Amino acid sequence: MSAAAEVEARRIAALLGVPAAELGYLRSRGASALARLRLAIASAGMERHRRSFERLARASALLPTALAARIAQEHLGPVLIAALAPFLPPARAALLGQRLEPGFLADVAVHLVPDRAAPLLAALPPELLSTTLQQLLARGEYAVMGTVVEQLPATTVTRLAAEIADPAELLAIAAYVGDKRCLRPVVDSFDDNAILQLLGCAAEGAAMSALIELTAVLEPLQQRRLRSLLATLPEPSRRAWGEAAPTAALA
Amino acid sequence: MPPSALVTTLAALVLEPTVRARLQQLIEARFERQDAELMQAVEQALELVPGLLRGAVRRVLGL
Repeated sequence: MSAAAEVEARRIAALLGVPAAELGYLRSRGASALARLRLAIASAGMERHRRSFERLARASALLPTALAARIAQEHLGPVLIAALAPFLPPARAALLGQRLEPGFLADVAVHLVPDRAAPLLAALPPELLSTTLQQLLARGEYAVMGTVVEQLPATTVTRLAAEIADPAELLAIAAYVGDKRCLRPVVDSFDDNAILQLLGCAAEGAAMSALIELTAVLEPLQQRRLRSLLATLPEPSRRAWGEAAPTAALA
Repeated sequence: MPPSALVTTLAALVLEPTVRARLQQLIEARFERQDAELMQAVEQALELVPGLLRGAVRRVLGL
């Protein structure tokens, strides 16, 4: 069982309020399947309590931002705030977000249901996203970051990707991106050196499958660029690519 | 009955019927607890809200 699957199984146990051992049978499932289950449970909970969350969102508008932020952190907690956030007007949620502690924001991000949060994510100021990104990177929350990428504007994804220095972390996040076509602008934004680092890192075994999936959905011009860069890598790296992806777009 | 997206996700895990039924029970229990937790958190939070505003917030919340 992968470490990522272990983390997801523990998250589901925490969400359901049971000891992790009680859900031991989930550990044989893949991390992606477990992440989907966790988000489906959270999404169903949001629907079930939609009326309460809508009322809370309206009530929040009556409160000064600082007080609403204090209530969020001290009484509601990250799970409820993640469920409530999509019901808030995005501009109000962005204002509140700026009053929350970075660690709390990262906790909220972990529990956010990405496909419910697109308007909210688009409204968040760049500094807030950067701060949260750094918190999530420090925690190794690659699944959380990867599943949210499709809901972010392309310009935001490109800017945030530029803030991640470690190619292994970029690949770890890319592995959790569902539709990898949304990463095309990121590839264009990277200079040759950054691309070479990614290709070399993947050749060392770091999430090569994620990069193979990505290259398969790149535009022909992008694939040509990567092929020519791949040809400049040291022989062991080229061989690793040839063996791992003999029929892939870069072959 | 859980929403169809949750049913589909559970089905994709291909669990033994008894295990799946138990997991569904846990999910249902979670939803029932969540409502109580939400109301408890709201009642505690209201103590932070100044008097006049508290009344307005309670009305919006339907309390």
